[in-house]
Amino acid sequence: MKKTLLACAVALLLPQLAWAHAHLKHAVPANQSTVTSPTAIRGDYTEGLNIAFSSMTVAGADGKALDLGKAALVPGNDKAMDLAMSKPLPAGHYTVTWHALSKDGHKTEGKWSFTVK
Amino acid sequence: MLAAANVACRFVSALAPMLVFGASLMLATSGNAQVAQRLNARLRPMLRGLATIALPAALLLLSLEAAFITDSHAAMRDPATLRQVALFTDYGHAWMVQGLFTSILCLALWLPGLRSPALLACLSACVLAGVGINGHAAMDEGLPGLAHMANNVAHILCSAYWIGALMVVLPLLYSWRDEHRNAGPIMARFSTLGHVAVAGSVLTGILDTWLILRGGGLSLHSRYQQWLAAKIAIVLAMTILALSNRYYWVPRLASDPRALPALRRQVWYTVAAGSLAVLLVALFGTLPPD
Repeated sequence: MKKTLLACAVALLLPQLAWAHAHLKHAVPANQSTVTSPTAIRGDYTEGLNIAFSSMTVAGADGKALDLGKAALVPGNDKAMDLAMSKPLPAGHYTVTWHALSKDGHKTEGKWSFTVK
Repeated sequence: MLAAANVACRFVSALAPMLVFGASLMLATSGNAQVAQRLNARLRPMLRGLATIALPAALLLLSLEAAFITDSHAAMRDPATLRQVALFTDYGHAWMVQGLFTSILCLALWLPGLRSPALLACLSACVLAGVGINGHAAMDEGLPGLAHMANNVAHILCSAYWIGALMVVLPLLYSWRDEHRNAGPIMARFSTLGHVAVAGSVLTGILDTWLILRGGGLSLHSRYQQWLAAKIAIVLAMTILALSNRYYWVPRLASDPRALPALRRQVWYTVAAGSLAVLLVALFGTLPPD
């Protein structure tokens, strides 16, 4: 009992960072980076996502969206979603547009871009 | 327009069960079953009205959330989207708890016969649990996430008792001259629980604020934090009113003819201020905190 209470207190008091609304914390490939063809495109967020209403689309330099299927949660991590690449991306400039519905019911969106050499 | 409707629905669907909860818990803990029964019957039209306006407001929240998520007004009436929002989002799960218990509360108040205040307090507490596990309180994961939601539910219940119990205090004060023998002990019990509710509301409110703002920090430019500051100012005023009621006017009830009208007036001010505080939460709860 004492241990449970202590765990609760520690969990509450730890200055763990959290933001209401899901903000993009980390992107793979990184924003404005130049990479070899990635095997997956992944966004890590500051808050858990509801994947039914979260998405990522990738567009080439001509602005046309690529058919890469629907983004899925990374197994065991509901703060990250990714798009698996079934075939290599040709060289060029790409923009990832994302929409995230966080667990607190709020929606955020954004973009990042990268270049495949 | 949709944003204003969302704030209005959040406000009504939370304030109404808060008042039902506070009034019912006050009656359930009054210590005088006869007077509680009489007041329960007298307050029933008001409690019915509150539950009845809370129901459509609560149900509409799902349509509004669907419109926000999809950026489409059509989603508000699209059964497939509404089903997806209800079943596959955390917002939807909390909404189902709120909607289900608001419906049961309505039924309990509209079915023939008088329901016990304890049952009404339990049902409205379940509605408020649905309110409390949603929104910014759902931003954390794991154990801290559960603790955050539990703290928010406790905050809402304490605040609900604070303002809802006044729905019972008012009729007691208006019949004080005829009924002060019965009303006195009931008010004394209210005073004890009221201290717990005010202290609980303030402490859980401070913890809630820290839990929500600890990531983004303080900013003068955040609209969320500006409205939050306004709410804190209102709660401060409510606390001063509660202290002056309890420690200045109540002890003078027997000796000072100004005490009763002053108490009645200040209780009305507290109800108005509490409602305004709930309105502000309904508003800033839709904004990003940082």
